Amino acid sequence: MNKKFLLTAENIDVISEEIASYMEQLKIPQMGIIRGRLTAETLLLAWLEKAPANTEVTLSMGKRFFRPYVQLSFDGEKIDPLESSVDDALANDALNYFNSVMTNVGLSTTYKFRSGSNIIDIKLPMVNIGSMGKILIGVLLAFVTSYLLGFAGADFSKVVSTEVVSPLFDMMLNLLGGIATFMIFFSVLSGVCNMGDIATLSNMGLKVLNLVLGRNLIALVLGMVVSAVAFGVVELGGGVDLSVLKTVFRMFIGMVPGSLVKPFIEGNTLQIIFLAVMAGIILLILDQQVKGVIAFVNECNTLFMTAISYFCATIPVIVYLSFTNVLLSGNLGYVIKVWKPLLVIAIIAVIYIGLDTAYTGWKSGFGIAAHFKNVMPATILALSTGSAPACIPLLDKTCNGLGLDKKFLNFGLPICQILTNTGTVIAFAGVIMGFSEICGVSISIPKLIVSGVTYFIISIAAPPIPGGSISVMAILMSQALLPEYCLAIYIAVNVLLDMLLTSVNIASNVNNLVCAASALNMISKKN
Amino acid sequence: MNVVVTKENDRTIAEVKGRVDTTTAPEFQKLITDVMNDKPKRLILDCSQLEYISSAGLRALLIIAKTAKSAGINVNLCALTDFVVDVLATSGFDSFFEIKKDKNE
Repeated sequence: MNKKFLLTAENIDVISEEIASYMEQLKIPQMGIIRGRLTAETLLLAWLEKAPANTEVTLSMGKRFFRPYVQLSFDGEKIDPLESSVDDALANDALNYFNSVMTNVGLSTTYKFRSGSNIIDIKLPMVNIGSMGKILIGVLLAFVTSYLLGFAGADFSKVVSTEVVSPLFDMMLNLLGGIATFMIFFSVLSGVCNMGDIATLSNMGLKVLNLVLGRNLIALVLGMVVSAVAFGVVELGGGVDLSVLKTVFRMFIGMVPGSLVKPFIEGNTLQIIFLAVMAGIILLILDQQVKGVIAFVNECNTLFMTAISYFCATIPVIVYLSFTNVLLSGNLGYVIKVWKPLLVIAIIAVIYIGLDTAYTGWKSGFGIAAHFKNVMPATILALSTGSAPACIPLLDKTCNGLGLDKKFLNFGLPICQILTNTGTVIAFAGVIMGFSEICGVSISIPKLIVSGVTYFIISIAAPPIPGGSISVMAILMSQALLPEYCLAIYIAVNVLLDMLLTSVNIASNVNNLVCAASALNMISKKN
Repeated sequence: MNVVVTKENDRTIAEVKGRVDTTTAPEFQKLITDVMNDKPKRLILDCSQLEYISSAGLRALLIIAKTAKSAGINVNLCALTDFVVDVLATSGFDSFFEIKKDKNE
């Protein structure tokens, strides 16, 4: 599309509107449109200062290799809009302004003078295909990769999985986990020391804890009841071994770190939160005496939150590696062996998320249908990555969009993230009872009650470190007197199960945060 | 574009209405410069009804900021719409001004 305009102040605004309309048609997001308009306006302003009167500018817009562009051109003597050519303080002042805007806006712009024509090309921001679209592309590419590698044979696929894909996936998750560790620490620390006073902190903390633990309990009861009915392994008689409670108690005590450094090395987020809360309380009490430290903490919070949001641009890669690993590992065959527990867990998960989200949407005033839309993006991201840290930036963005107070989110989001284990308790109940049915092991009522208590405490107290879920499952399976090969099967399907329970945890996290913020009057607007 | 000026105790509030684009930016700059010639201690630009600001408008704001600084006048922007916040953030000009939620802050 080509249009000609006389280069005047009024027409610069007209050209800017044309560019904005074009970008809106391409569904480029608002920030991209602002960048495009500012770039074009700045360059045209620079030309307006230097070009002769009655200069006619041609506006062209289109796509080159799928990338949208804008081209501005006029015939005449060579005039580079951003070149300083005069000893004129006023003109150079204007030039400094133009260069400053161009640098900050950051769009790729080229100037050339060819065959008597001054030409500026502006590469517009790419059309945003959206995070869901990128995840879908990651999943599709994973299927294509595993299909193509299938021609090379099962053994080769397995080698690629163990020697290439799995290490790359672990590397990405470790990097993400490393950043998330510090982000969680500074977020909680910043949230606590900016709380204002201890009374507000304890009020907020108690409300959040009650809500989160209460919902964990509801999910546990639902999971255990439905699993008991679905698998039919519960019998009236029989005793119970209480020795596992000793292990659980030790795990509970283990929430308190023995060293200031070890939690960060191990990535034990529960202990890190404990340290952050303790340090935050001290800073809160000292307040004005440690103003500089609090300012530093706030800056670090911003730094790590920004770092993790930039890192999460690689989510589609993580999704691709995750799915490719599952498809190439050859463990999908185990899914057939345990199809019933996986199906029952999935059904309980859907029921729980459905009821929880509907209740939250109704109670918060967002509306049930609207709140499902709020919760779905983070849930789908969790389902496709199986990684809670990967969801943090999207959770933060979702909650900010819902109007949750930033002060509450700094404190509440990481804490809810770690303590919300609705998916975990559902999975515990489903896996143990499901495997009990497969192995012909029955569970007595007293044992069921002790198991329930164990699941509840372990879901919170278990160290959230790599490999933690497998060691926890080993304890639970031993308590349920399941044979050793069950753990091997569990490990084989752990990735798929992780995706499912993480999605439940994340959906519950959003609901918990909304309910807690509502109860504390820390939501500023409704959807 | 229209600027309504109100003087209150030790501050002057200039309510900017409409669009500050390439056409209206010179007039906007002149109006605010005239207000600053009265040497108010504090000048608040109320942008609650500012619909749009272009690159020329930003340039006018920059000149206003520089003039205010050399005259020792404290200039705040307040009640910015989401769009104007985005424009200032994208251009990097949000660091030139103290931005307040409303004129009473």
